[in-house]
Amino acid sequence: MSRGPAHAEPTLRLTDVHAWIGQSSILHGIDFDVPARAVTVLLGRNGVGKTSILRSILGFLRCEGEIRFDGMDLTKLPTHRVALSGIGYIPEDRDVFHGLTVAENLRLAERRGATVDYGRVYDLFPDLAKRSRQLAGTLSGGQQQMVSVARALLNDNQLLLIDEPTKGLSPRLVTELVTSLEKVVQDTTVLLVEQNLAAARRLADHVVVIDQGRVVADESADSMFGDGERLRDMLGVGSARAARGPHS
Amino acid sequence: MNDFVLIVISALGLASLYFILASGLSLIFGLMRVLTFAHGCFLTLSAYVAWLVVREFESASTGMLLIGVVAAIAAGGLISLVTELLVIRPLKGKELEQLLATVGISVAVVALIQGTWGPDQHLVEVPAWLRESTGILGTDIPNIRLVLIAAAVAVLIAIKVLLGRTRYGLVVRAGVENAEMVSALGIDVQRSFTVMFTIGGLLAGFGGALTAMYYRGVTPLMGDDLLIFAFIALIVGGLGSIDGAAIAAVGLALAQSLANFYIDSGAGDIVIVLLMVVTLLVRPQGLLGQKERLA
Repeated sequence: MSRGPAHAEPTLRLTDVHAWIGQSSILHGIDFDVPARAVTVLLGRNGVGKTSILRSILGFLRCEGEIRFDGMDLTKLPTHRVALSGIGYIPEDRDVFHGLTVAENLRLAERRGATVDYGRVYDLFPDLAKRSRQLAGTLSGGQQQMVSVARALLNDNQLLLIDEPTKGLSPRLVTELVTSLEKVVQDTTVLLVEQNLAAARRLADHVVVIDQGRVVADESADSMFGDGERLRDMLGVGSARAARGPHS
Repeated sequence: MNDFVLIVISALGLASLYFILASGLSLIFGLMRVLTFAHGCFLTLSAYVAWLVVREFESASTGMLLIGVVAAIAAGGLISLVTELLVIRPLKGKELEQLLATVGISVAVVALIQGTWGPDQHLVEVPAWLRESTGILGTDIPNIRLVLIAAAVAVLIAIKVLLGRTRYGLVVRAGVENAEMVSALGIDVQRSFTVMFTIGGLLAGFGGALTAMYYRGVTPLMGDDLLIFAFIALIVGGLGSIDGAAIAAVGLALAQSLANFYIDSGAGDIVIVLLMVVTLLVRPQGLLGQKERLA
């Protein structure tokens, strides 16, 4: 879904990033750029370090190297400062606050002194307005995913980190969510981890493939998805089917 | 009938002290997952501060008492703040080390108090009206018991408002579930930990002043004695549940007082421990305890 050439200056640049969980080294010198106003998709098998890259950017993991965003090295910042610098996060397991209502989940995401855009959120997910007083823990998986996405969209973030948004959703909900995300990514820079290759293909401008904590490919989506055999070799899955079309 | 009314209202007064101490422990555990054994010595130290302030006045007046209460609350908050910054925060994520450190603080503070002011009780002067009684259902109820009950109700309401009606409460309730995600929304969770630990200390300070008034004196171990019952209320009510702590404090204090009166003096402590054991066997999470939830 190319949106034209990316800006010359990337929104995010990772340079020689190493990360650890406890004593275990999990990222071994990650280098790649996230171009502005484009969707960069991280692909790779389970456990190769895709989520760890997002968690390193957010400051959840101990890491070394440089993660440069908007002139700042994020590795020096605590997580809340990373978020306040203009980065929204949609986590792998939604992580909505079950004991809070939908409205409270959204209110918590409001940043002090910043303009929040409820109109944009409710345009995308009108169901949330109707369910504002419902406890988030009683929502379906798809509705919880809407809350999770809405929290990140409420503020005017320069970059969205989205981790497997379609995980655990029914095929119908996946289609609905990807359609919503297509609208979201129109004017936002996105770094997306996605195992659903059909969804990834619909959204991606740029693809970075990770294996064993290292970058093994970094190229345009057209180039990557145009070569199904190579993608299948790199991912070890039935990616040729995904490469054939967006709705497979 | 008169005995029964007196016992019940006296028990509610005692329950108030248990609850005020337990509520601070509950708030701290709910958000930070820290069980602090230093809370008792915070109460003791605050009570001593109240005593030091009150004894500076020539006559026991309500105004003097209020100044003592405010000083005790401030002392409780201050020592909690310092403890969080210097001890709890550097040990973040090391729950056993945090627990042991708070035990060490408790021992050290009690020793410091004993070394400074001696092991004996020091009398605390209270205004005349606080030594008098009020007739309720034909029974003369000491006013201090009514003050304790009113204070506990005020604390419960204040905590409910804080958690339910303020943005800070929203942060706390969310942080109990998933502190990492709260920080990913741009909220400084570490600061929330510090504030919550300090609020717990403020409550210990308030409890210290009230305990000093209730017993009309201060002793080095007064906080630790109460801490045991506050912990039992916390466990029976459900770790992290404010409502549970309130219900458990009332139930335990009633059982304790009734057993002391109708069975034998001292039987109440045994009954309380038995109630805790039965609760843990029947409902291990406590009366209102839920996994990862602050009610």
